[in-house]
Amino acid sequence: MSWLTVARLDVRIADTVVCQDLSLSIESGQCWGLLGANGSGKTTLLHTLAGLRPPASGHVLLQGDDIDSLSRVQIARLLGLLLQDSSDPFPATVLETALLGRHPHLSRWQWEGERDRQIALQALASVGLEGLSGRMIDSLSGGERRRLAIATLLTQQTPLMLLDEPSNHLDPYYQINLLTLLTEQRQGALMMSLHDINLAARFCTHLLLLLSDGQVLSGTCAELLNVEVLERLYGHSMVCIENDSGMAFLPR
Amino acid sequence: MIRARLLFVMLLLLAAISLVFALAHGSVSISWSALWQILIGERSGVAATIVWDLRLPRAGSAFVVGGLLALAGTLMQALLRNPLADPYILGISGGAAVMALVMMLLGLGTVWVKGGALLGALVSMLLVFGLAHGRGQWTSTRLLLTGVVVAAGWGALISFLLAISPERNLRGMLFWLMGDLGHESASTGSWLLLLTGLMVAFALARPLNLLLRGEWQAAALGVDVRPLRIGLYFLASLLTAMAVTLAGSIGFVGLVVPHILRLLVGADHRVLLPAAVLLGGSLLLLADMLARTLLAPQQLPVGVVTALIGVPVFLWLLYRSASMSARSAE
Repeated sequence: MSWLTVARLDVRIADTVVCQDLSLSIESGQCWGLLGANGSGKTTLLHTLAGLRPPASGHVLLQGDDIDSLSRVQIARLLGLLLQDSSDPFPATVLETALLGRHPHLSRWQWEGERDRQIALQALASVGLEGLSGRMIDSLSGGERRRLAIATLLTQQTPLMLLDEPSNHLDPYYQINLLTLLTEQRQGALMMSLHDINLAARFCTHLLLLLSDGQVLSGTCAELLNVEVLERLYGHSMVCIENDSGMAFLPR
Repeated sequence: MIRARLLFVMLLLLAAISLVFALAHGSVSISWSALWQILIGERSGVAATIVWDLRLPRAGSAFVVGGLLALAGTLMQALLRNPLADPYILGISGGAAVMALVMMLLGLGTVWVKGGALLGALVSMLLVFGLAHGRGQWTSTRLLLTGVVVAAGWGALISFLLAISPERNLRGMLFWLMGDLGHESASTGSWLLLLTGLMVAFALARPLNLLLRGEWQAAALGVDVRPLRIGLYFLASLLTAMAVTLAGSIGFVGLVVPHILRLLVGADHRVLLPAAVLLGGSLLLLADMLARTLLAPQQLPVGVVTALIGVPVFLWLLYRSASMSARSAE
């Protein structure tokens, strides 16, 4: 089943072309990696796919419905978006912040109930923040905030997730554990932008590559993960190292 | 929620105590027993007239104005995502003041001054909104900058008007600028606006909580950000315009009240909004009582009292939160 279908999508930032005539379909069980050089428009594309930014032309269909015809709440019940950064000028506790993820599931006058609290606490535990639920967010470290943002996304319980650099601020332990946790949700699907090719190689089934000139390559990892394509993507010479535990791409 | 319930019990108590003090004190002190007799129905005598005809209406307008300002301040801080925002930051009181002073300069009566203030506030609100809207994106920074610049423009006009005013008008103008509850009682309309405003704001409380986390985050979690912000802007402006029309410009209530409450119960607007109305109302009641009694029989503008209390409280809050985050960073 297709969670997100993109038809003939043109995305531009002012005069810069991010992608042209992009068509793809994100199906159940798929995990897409979005790679591209700095400034190639990964974040803009993710925001467009989430319906937060109108494309120059083309359509984004969420479960077959044009995303423009859906309300923000309807979208937020199906599609979760992890933003690249979060800023918190006001004080709040860790649990309060995670509970914000329940918003699309509650009616206007409804308060979070015991079930919502359980979902949030479970999400906090799954990102290793159990015991910190009463802490103020401004006292958290960068990595802890990132894990809190991921917990908020998990609390939202959406089948489709778009993640903007989920591995930011995370040490190797959490990079591997949290990406495993996120990509294990097999009924749904996800797309994540990454800087680390090797994380993409390890966790993704498909890749979407944003080349510098508005050209886009999409396909399975097997098709696209090779030195020639990556050199074209980043404009830097690469080397592939293989051993018993797999292969890794490194900049030369 | 026990903490929030306790807070509301305490705030209701505070409101009741403030009201009793405001009724008992003033240029003529009324003893507790006499006040009790009056409150349970004694209608004759000078003291009863003072309480029923002078102090109670004035206490009512102090409470309404304080509630309006605190509610508007809470909404403005969420709208601008800036903890230093207050109801006047977008130039609303400046516009109101300029029009009110023009009416005074023309020698027109109270009704004209109030009408002018309301008109000035609305004009300023539309001006800032139109300019900030422009053709570009409607960001909080843009709105804030536009508001601050427009407010500075109004400030210059106010100075100009004061400079060209004849001596005999100056005192009234200065009192108006510093906030003055002495004129008339709060109308039913202002109470209705306060209650309606609180209800509308309360219905938006959860989206407001999300808006604090940023517009993108709010949109990603299901909030239609644009109409919410436009609605918030007009609601907060309207509340401020009504407060300014009733009592001139009174600073610090709208800035300090949301801060004190956030420190006590956190940033959940479902608790914050009704609590802000209660605390703002009570604080202005007390400030007005002090303004009437400190130099009695001379009356001070209530804005002077709120600023004299507000400045040290606010500095202390800033100092405290700075040292708190320093401690948690260690």
